[in-house]
Amino acid sequence: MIVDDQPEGPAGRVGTSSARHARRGGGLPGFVARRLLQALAAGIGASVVVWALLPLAPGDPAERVLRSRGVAEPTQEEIQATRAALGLDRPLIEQYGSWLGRAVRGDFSESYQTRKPVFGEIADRLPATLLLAVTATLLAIAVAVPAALIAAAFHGRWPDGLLRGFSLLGAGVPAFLLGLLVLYLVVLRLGLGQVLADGKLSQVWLPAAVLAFARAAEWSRLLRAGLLDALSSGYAAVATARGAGRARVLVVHALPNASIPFLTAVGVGFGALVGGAPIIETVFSWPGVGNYVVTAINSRDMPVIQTFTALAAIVYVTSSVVVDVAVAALHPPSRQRT
Amino acid sequence: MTSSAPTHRPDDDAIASQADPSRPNASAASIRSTRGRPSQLRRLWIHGGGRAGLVLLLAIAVAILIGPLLTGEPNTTNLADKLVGPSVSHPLGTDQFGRDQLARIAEGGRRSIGAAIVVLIGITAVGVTIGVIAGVSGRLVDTLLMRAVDVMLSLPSLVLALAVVGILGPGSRNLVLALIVSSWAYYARLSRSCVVTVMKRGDVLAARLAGVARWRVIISHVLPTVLAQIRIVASLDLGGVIVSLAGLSYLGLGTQPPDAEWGTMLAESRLFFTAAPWLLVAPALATIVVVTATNLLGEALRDTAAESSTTITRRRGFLWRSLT
Repeated sequence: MIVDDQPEGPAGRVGTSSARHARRGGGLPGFVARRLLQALAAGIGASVVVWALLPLAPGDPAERVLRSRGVAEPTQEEIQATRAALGLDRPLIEQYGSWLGRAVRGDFSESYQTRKPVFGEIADRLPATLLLAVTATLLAIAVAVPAALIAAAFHGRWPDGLLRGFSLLGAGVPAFLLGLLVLYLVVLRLGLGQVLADGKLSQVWLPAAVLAFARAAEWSRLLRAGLLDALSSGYAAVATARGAGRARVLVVHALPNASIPFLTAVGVGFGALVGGAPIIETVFSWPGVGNYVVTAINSRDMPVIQTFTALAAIVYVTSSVVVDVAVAALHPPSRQRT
Repeated sequence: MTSSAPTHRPDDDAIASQADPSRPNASAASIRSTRGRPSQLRRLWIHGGGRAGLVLLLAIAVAILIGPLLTGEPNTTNLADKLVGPSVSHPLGTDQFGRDQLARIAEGGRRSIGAAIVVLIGITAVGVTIGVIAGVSGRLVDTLLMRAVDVMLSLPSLVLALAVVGILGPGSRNLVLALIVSSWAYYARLSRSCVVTVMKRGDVLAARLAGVARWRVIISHVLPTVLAQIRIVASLDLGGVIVSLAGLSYLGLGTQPPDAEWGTMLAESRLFFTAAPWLLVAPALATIVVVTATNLLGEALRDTAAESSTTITRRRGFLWRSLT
């Protein structure tokens, strides 16, 4: 997806790209440094977008703060006091500067609503979101890999068609709709699971399965395409000519090479999930980060929105950096991927 | 479907490979070869998925535009008739305020599809403008714009969309704005790379050598080509935008009650799951049908246009699945 568009890979030892990389002066450390800078730029970029939009937000900021704290009709004095206390009377760029300065030191501001540090509030909800992200990713891998292997082994026959149908379904049924249907059919009709989840391991299955469905469909299609590509290549023919069985060619020779784009997609998908799956978390009342942010948005809790945006962007970009570096270390030819 | 070609590279989203300097007249040749071929509509009709998508969308359009004439007002409440199941007078039942579900589905459909089209027009306007400016400008402007695009592209669209709605406040207008802000960058990159290719084309070089003004070259040679490519991408993205709008409306970030919208209706239906399951089924099915139809049509458009275009290789919608 997005990371595939990144033009450069790390230093290529292989063939044609080495000259280009020599010109760029990139080694693996240089590549890592460049990508980390990108991650930082993304985090700052996200915060700039959020802050640049602030003046467009309706209403007086101090009044907004008081309202989100439950003061229905704030008096002029209260508004003045809040404005001074939170520094809302200073120029926007100055406010942004001081926010950024504190954020770099790990001090994100306090929630308007609860007056607790936003960072702590998000950290409290991170375990539930992580549990969901890990389970969903593992489930999706567990489905996608065998499905892709079978589809590639029976290319053009009915198991392949079955996978195609599955991936069409995965693309055609939006995840939140699937979640609602599952909630209705499994929880309310069959009486399995809970309508209100508590974020524990025993209840993670339904939301994780729903999240895994679309990802399994996407990833299996990706892996299948890679496998077919690998099977039609020279080394697969050589392996077959030297007497390797079909299963061996598929699993030992084709799979490692085909798994590179697959791993990239898995890593990036996981990074996105760690930032929270607001829609699915809301559907299943899962007490994770995404759910928290939706609540914050509905009560106009600006510091929460600002912190979440910056953190989610950094987590997402960092995870794609980690994936890129891991792939480059695992698979030298991919370093010259353009 | 993308996976039907065994040699298809999984990451061929990258469009950089389309520039083929060894065949500068390739596009001219392909324009010649389009003469005498069946029209775009005819090709869509021959394409199985395209025919299915066209028929489905046409049926949906008729239902949404003509349906309200038969079903009455979507916001008329009738508490005597609340939570009534499907019947002759209310084919899809009524909700907790006794409002006719069929009328609300039609109203919601107009709102969802209309908003999705506005989003795509917005993304196209912003993305193409920035992409063309970057593509025809000097190195400094190009680099600056593309660095900004890189930053935007490296951010998860869902997070950006949430941030924008969070700051501006929930509401359908702000949601549309949020989706535009969070996804214009891809269109900008696509347009820029298309512009760079077009600028090397024979007819453009000839026009520039003949002294045609720069803006004129851009308007009459560059823009039509860019828009032809973007149109395909936008049609592939339509389904994804509809899903994103419905999903974020489900969270209460889009259309506000009492107005009908599929995501909002689904959110409201949650309280009456057991008592009135039809409130869940109708908007859910409507969303799935519309999304499937637009996907089929988008892919058919891509497949039938692929013969005359080199830029868009086999590609699924970009916004697709970006907001699950």
